[in-house]
Amino acid sequence: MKIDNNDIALLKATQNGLPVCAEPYAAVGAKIGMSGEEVIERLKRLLASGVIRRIGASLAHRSAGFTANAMIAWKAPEDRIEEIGNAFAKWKEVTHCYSRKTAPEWPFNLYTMVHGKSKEACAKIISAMSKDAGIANFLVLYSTRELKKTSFQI
Amino acid sequence: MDSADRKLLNLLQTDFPLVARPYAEVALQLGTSENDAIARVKRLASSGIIRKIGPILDSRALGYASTLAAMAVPENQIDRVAEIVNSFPGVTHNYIREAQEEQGGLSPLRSADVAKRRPARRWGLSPSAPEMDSSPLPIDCHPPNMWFTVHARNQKGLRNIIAEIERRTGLKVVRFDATKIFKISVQFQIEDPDED
Repeated sequence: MKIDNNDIALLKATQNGLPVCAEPYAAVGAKIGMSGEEVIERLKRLLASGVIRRIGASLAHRSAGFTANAMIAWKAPEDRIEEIGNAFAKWKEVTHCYSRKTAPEWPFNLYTMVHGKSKEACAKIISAMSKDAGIANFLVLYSTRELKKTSFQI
Repeated sequence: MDSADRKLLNLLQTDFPLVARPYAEVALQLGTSENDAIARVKRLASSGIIRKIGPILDSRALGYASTLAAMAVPENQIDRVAEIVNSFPGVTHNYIREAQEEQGGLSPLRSADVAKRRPARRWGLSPSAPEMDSSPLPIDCHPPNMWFTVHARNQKGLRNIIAEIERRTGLKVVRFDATKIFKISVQFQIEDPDED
């Protein structure tokens, strides 16, 4: 999809959030010289093309009660990555699932993020995922300190 | 937070309406007024539960390069190193992560500890699941503790940021480039307390 300068201006004006008011798209448009209708049309196009993944609320998940956050690095057999990646993606507790390159001394090739209301809740899910996929080799890394959390910005 | 707040949070996380008056539409689904929906969102935003409502961008679709990177940072250097790493706008997330001893495949082994452990414990193999893939892992496989994501306009930009972090911290950065994305869906089902 061709992204023009007006699209970029619109993404820059909205990526930190829309104003909370009755007509947020018109309010954003007024700042960058676009009508509310044009803002909506452009956002629809950017959403359809995949440049925008979704339009919605980002929650501070810790304040929303999801205090435990585990990254699990799995060592999956190469020929099963596709199958297991797709299976892990179906778990609602899994927010991210990626396959990644390995590194020397680091054989893990599949990564999932699991969010839960406690470490115990995460641990249960992780055990069930391990059994389901038949992978015994994995490493559970809980976040103990959040040093930075922002959104990707253009 | 009352039950209407929870329902509102679930509604807002999916598809925020692309219409002139989105809160009027949200209010309809919630069974309330537009003004009440806006007032609730303002309250949830000022209390920090809602970080923002707006478009979530796909950096890859915009042509950006990104990776997951990790460093093994000595405990007493975490603040110093974090300051350097976080100073790059392309670094969007940065966490200290610790491996869980009790759970799972592997313990956070240090090389010196390895010899002291029984093999089953060493590799964290589950003896109850012989059918599982449990081929041995390398001996020095202990995890880095600082994990961050980096975005840049292109691969060269990404390499430059990582090289600069290594130069300024004096520590090695390991990259784990994604080969495939199976899921990104940072949405949380907010449940009523008695529903769990």
